[in-house]
Amino acid sequence: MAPLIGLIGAVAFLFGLGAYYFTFKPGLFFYANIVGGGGSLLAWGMHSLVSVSRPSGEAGGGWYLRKLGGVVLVVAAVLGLNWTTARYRWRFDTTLRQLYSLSPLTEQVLDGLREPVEALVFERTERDRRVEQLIASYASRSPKFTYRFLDMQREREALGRFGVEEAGLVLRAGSAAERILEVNEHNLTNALIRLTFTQRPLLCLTTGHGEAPLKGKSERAYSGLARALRDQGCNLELIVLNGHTTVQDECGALLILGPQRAFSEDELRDLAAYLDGGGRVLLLVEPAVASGLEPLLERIGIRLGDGMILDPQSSARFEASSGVRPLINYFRKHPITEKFNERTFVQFETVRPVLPAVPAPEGWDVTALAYSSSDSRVIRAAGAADRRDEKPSRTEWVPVAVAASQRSGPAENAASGARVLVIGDADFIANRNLASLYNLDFILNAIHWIAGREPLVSIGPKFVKPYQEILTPEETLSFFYSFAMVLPEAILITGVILWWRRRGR
Amino acid sequence: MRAFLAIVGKELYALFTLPIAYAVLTGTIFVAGWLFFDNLAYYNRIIMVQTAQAMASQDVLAYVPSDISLYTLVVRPTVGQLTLFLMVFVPLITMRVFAEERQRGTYELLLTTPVSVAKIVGGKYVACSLFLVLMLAATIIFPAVAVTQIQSEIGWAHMFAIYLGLTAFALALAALGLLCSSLTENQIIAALLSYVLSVALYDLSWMQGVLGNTVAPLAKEIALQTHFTSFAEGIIDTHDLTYFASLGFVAFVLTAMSVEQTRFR
Repeated sequence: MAPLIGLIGAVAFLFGLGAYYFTFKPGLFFYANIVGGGGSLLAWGMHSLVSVSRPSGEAGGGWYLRKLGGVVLVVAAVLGLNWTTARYRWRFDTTLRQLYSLSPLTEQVLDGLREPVEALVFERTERDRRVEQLIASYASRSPKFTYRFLDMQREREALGRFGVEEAGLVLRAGSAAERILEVNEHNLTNALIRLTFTQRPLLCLTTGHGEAPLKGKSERAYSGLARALRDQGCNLELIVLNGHTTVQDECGALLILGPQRAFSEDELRDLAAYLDGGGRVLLLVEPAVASGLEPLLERIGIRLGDGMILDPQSSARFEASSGVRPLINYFRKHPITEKFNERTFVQFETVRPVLPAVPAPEGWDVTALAYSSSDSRVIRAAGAADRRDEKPSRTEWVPVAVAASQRSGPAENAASGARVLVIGDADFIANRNLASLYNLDFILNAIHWIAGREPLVSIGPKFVKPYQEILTPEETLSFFYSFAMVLPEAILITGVILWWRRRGR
Repeated sequence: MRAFLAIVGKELYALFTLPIAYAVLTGTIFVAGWLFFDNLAYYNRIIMVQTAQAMASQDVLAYVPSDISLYTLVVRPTVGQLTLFLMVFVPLITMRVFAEERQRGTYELLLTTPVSVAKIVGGKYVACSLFLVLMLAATIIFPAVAVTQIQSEIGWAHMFAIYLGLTAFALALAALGLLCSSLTENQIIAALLSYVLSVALYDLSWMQGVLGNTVAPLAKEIALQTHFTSFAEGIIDTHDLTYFASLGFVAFVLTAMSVEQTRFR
């Protein structure tokens, strides 16, 4: 009788589970079957144990107790082992593009967390496994990062409080919160930055000299860069230098991105005053553009070279370039390029030499950051009367970016002196090039260094383009016949043959 | 050692002379292939629609959403469905291991041999495991296609992680199945008990319905699915490997205890 009750209980229990997994709503049917079925199974189990414990030769209560004790010890040891491996675990990311290996920037931000941050993941009934693994990677890196999954159906009150209408994630640190709709490492790390770096620097950008716009979707615009900076908590403002402007004290840095016309004397005066006051300037200037900033730059040890760099090595990697789009992967040691190496390429588009003064002016540290390859040449820009090529010596690579920092600032700003960074190309950060290789990382590092946000100077997460190609009907059908038909048929025929031969014996 | 290998060999021979073994092998490959093809066809339909929509859109930056890809619509669902499939078929392999011997009357003969209970249970478990590994190996052709011919975003290392997870999952189910088989002489009852255990342990979120949200973290930690998903995503986690090994070990100990108490009856 007991086995029959147990079997009925097993069937009821299975149906109870089935009802739950189809509806995810525990109702009367679920409770009745789970409780009734579970109870029956338990009764059957207890009955079996009681019959075992009846002494029969060596199998008696003593034997039973010894074995039970052994099982308890084994279970305790297993639980202890699992608890230990839960706390001290190794995770190996085997994905092709290292999807769950955190970028250096993410690791830096997580390591630098001072306050606890909690991620509330609002999900529908079906859990997004990739989000779960990504969040778990963050949590395993920093004990200050914790997470919870909230069912959207059950947590309506929390949904309303955070204004979440569809599945997403909310990061909380203290009373501040950041909402993320599309959860990936890029958005998650940027939200962490906005949450934890509460000081939002104001980046002032010059206008009126043919600089590319910050808005719009054109290939030439800098809207991608503007968005990347805002995502990392920077505020942007256009500024007009007219000789009467005092570059605001609130400006964390002044960005001069790709001027096409020279600055006037009045504007140069504003700039000089800003630099003398410990200001921070980033200048991106195209070849063959006379910006008028040359004397100002030479004062601090930076010289804008004439001509354009032609790098034949780049054409080997990038067929259409003919060398006019150098791939730069030679970097000098500097906070901006600390994480860059021979595998991190920055793709420039028509770049001019930018040369450090040797020796550097007094009170300034001047460093060339990045060089074209040793096979590169500097050619005069098209239209110049003298078309002689200049060939540098083999041991002299041509620098394309130079950083200068003042060793000590003015008295009221002694902690941070002026900083200037000059790069000989402004197109490498335009919308058409920004996502190439490590262009975005390079320019963000440059801006963060200029603005004094050194903790954010790193290599950020990469965008991963998933496989989204369409298969032809023929391809799809060939997979079906090969794998769902041919192979199973072969195995079944083998089984039939073997069975027939055994039957014949 | 010789006795152990003899048990493994005998069990494997018995498995491969049974029609059900071939039915299970064929069924596995057919179902896996059909699932793969079905998901592939669905993926093709979706991607064609999404691509057409993106191209027709006025938005310069329109794109196919990143959660629509070969991995998310084909590989991941196929792997998830394979785990459900394993839950159905593994008990059919393990149900006969001890129950059939009891039914035929050869169980007592086996227990009177001078072979230790651990070797008996271990030998039968290894034989079942080898069969399951062979069964899974036969399905590896689908991801091999995904990695090589379709050139998806998954590589061989990721495939290894997925199959390591499937193998660990299958071996844990096999251990539970052997335990259930040792408790009864009826194969159907053994299979039924195995289904109850595996379905109950697969995703313990049902416990929240009975015991409330406080058990959610514990339920999540014990569930089979929790520890499998990281493998499916391409992460080999030592904690998950420990979980499956622990589950198999506890089931092994309980099975040995069940067999031993029969020996002494």
